[in-house]
Amino acid sequence: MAKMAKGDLEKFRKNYKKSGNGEIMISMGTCGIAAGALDVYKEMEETLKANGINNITLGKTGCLGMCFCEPNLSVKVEGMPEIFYGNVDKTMAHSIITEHVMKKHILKSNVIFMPSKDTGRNIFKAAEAK
Amino acid sequence: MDKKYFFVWEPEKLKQNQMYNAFSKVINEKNLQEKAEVIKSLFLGLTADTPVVKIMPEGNIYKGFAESDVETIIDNALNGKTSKFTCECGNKNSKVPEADPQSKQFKIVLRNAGYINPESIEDYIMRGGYSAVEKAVFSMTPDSLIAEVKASGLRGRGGAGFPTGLKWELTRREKDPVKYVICNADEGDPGAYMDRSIMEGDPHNLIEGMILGGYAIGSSQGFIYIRAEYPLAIERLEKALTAAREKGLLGKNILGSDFSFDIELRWGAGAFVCGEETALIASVEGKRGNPRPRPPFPSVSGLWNKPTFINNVETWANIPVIVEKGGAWFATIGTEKSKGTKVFAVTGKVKNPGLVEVPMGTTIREIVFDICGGINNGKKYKAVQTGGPSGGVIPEKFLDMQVDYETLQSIGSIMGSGGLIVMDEDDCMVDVNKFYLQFSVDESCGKCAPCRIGGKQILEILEKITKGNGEEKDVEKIKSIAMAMQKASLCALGQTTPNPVMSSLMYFEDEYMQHIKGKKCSTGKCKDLVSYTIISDKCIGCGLCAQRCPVTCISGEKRKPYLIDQSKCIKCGECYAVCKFNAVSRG
Repeated sequence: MAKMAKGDLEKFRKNYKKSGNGEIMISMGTCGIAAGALDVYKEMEETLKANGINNITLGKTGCLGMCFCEPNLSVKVEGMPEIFYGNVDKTMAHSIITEHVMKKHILKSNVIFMPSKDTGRNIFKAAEAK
Repeated sequence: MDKKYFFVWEPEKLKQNQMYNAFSKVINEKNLQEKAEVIKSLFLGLTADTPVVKIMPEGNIYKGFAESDVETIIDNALNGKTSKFTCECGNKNSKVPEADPQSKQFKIVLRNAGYINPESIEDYIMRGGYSAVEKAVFSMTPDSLIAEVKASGLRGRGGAGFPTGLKWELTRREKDPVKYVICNADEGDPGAYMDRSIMEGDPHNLIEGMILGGYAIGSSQGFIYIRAEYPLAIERLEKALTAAREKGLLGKNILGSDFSFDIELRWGAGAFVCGEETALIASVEGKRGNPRPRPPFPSVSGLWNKPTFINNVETWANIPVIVEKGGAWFATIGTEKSKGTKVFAVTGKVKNPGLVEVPMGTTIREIVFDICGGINNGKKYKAVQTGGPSGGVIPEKFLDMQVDYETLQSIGSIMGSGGLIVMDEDDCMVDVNKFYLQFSVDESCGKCAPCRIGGKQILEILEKITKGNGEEKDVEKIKSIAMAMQKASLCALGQTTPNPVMSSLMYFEDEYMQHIKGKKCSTGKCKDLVSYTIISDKCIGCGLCAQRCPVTCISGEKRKPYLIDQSKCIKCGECYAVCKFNAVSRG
């Protein structure tokens, strides 16, 4: 990859586009993995594959700070608000794909709400605005 | 029109789903399924004793409403009006526009953790990452960078709270052409995992902070001293370092400028004393991790006798934001003497344990009860321990005290690195302190006598007390040993080892006296001081305790009082917990 120079960061931000129209981020710090996030990840990977969905990115992220409801994850699907689920097990991981992602029904249980979700972005508002 | 989402949260003790059902009933009856959706939420970021609803996308939070009000709330929300039940959460940082007015948390250090993929440098750049490096290298002199950090009022987050800007200035002033930057990632307090989460969730944040530090003091080499017990953090940091080097953000000529800086990882084998800066430096050099007397301070003569600047992970993670937003902005957050935010790892007997980042000046009550939901199982709050084995307890009377470096010190505790262990009425103070003492004794490097011998002596006295052999003069003995350790130990480990005992003696002396004079432990934690007996008047002879007893020392006939064989009893307390008729007495 080419080395960046002055001004390249800004250019990069303008041109970068994430592929796909949805994203699932699983909290996978040591804590999340210990709580079973790896099983959830595998289950989701398989379910996505089995249903032929390839426009949803499945990603790993760090600890969200919500130890009491690990494993947890966020689901962002086009046209729907970003939803966080907590205490996710294999069965739930399966139904998040089949219900939330495929049918756009938010599951009626295990939803958590992250209030400070956007504080981080706001801190760098100047950079985000462009 | 956008769909409205109603996130409903209800406290456990209320009838389950009452409000949730009320919301869905109204939505179904009025056929609003297209316009509104109700979602049961496990957590809203705040807790209360009444149901709470958060309406998105506006983000209004309501509480204190009744079932009959639900219809009005929905109608108002759909018509773009607000209802009268607005929840006053009392965020002290409303003057900072970036703070969420309805959450007591304020995330600076953890701004990306949990939201980005830590293994992707693209994600970090997209959220404004490395802009601070670009800004500093091309438009700021090292001196103006230091001035910015000084203006921010940032203090070391490792626990001691030394002003970071001043430390930078002292290191910059040294004439030596070779200087080093070190990140202290040797996090070892029991119950603390803030640094690990930062490194695992947002490694680039730490790297960016260190590059800025290197630029400020004129160094070209940094080290991250991380314990080998954090394999995932090491893996992610290595990946992040490689990615940053590939992009030209680290290494030779950063972003095409003439500033070069690189970072190496150094693995620690997990000795607690290596979190002390002089011991850490020795360990980075490849020597045995022993502390040495100061001065000279590392800023004058540190790693390989060169001026060295050493800071904790959380301190580094604050730097990019300070550079980006300016020191003046940072200084508007927090209290008069302690600026910014602090990450706490809340663990112990609390309903929602977790990692919270709050502005300095938030009270313990807000952290434990409002953010983390209060004490588990409806038990009574006893104390929180801050600062781990070097800190102290905060009893109930200081719940409303604002947390910052000075106030915590004034009540005999310390800020520490951010571990916050919550204890309830079932925890025995003597027993807890025995644990901390044991930890410090195990981790003492043994170089100086006060720490090596003193710690062991206090531990032995505590063991004597929990076995029922305590004498009244023992308390005085503890105090005099503690004083010797605080005055004469070589490094902070020995100086702070007696802190937990001293602080609990200050607030819970009764409990020590109960153990010493009364030979009793009311919590049942000290097994030698407790015995379980069955009160024959109350026992109905159901036999549940006998079924539960792991050593089958309870015997009796059905419908007649049972009996515990004291010679076999292991004092596990199962019978006490299981009896529905309060027929088992503990004493």
